[in-house]
Amino acid sequence: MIQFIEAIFENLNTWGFAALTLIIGVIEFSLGLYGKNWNRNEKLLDLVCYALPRLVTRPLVAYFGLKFLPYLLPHGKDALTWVPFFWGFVIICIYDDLTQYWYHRLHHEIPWLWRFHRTHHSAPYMGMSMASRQNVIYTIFFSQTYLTTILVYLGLGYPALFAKGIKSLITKMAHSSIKWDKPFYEKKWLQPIAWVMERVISTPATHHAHHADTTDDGVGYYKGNFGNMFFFWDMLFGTALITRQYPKSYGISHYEGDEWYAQFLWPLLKSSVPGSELAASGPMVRADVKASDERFDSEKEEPDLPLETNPIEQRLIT
Amino acid sequence: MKLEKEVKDRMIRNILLSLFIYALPILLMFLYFYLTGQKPWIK
Repeated sequence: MIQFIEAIFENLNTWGFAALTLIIGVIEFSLGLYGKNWNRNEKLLDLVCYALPRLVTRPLVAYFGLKFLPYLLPHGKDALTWVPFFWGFVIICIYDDLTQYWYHRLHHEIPWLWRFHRTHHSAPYMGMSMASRQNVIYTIFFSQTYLTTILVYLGLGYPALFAKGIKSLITKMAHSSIKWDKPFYEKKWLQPIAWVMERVISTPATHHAHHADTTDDGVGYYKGNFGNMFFFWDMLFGTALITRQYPKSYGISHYEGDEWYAQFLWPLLKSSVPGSELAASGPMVRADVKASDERFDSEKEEPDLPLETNPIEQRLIT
Repeated sequence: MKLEKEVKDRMIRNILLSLFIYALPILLMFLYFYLTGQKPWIK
């Protein structure tokens, strides 16, 4: 039985999740869950970001684990194999996910980091297609990947196999446009499970709120809900919002389809969209465009305040 | 563009709490070994 479970996780971590992402993505697309927003530019960006971790990041992390760490810590290999499975599993779960929580949160709260994470938020839809969508710099410096690789090198490879598998499953399903958590909120007998679940792990409701193009409107909350595997980091640090509702629209309110290569390779390549955060002379953080601002645009009138001087609706908490 | 003081203060508080959380599983593990008399690193 244990060997069977081991085999499942080994396969998931090697090729299984890539295949699962593809299958769920096709289902989402077939159900029309990407709407009309999945144009050529978004498709290319999603596709490149889906392929990059497999073609570049994994070999890089493998080099780090197989060549660099033996050089840096020659006596460290398997030094912690004595750690019992349970404790190894707990250590990996906490170290990996708490590190990612901070990596993610800092990219939202520190203005100069925002543009490295913006690519993940520019998608005007949720789903498997955008789950891996990241700027190349953000992907390469994914801090928790290197931390977990160090722990694996030190001897926690076996518990890491399961922790990483469970984490991937939770984070992928939190990005899915299939609202699988909805029955938990609607069926009375499932509500006690929902109460615990939404406080412990990321769900579509809480993570979709993080990807909303609005914030502080009672549903959208890109100022928080930073957790990936565990949502209880948000509960603990006061960055959580649980509403059991899903945003009406996703992405960035002022997004105008920056070229896929600029989103992928910024700051090496810049966007040609005037005023974009990724343009050569663009602002570090641009303020949100509210629905009322869009109305002004359509009526060819100027809003009362220039967009970049309205501090209330700044994209970041600044 | 600077961080607001409130955000900065919350971040510092949360980082300090995080350092404790990083230490927690290791402290609990050794407390468990102490209470049960186990010394798995000797094997």
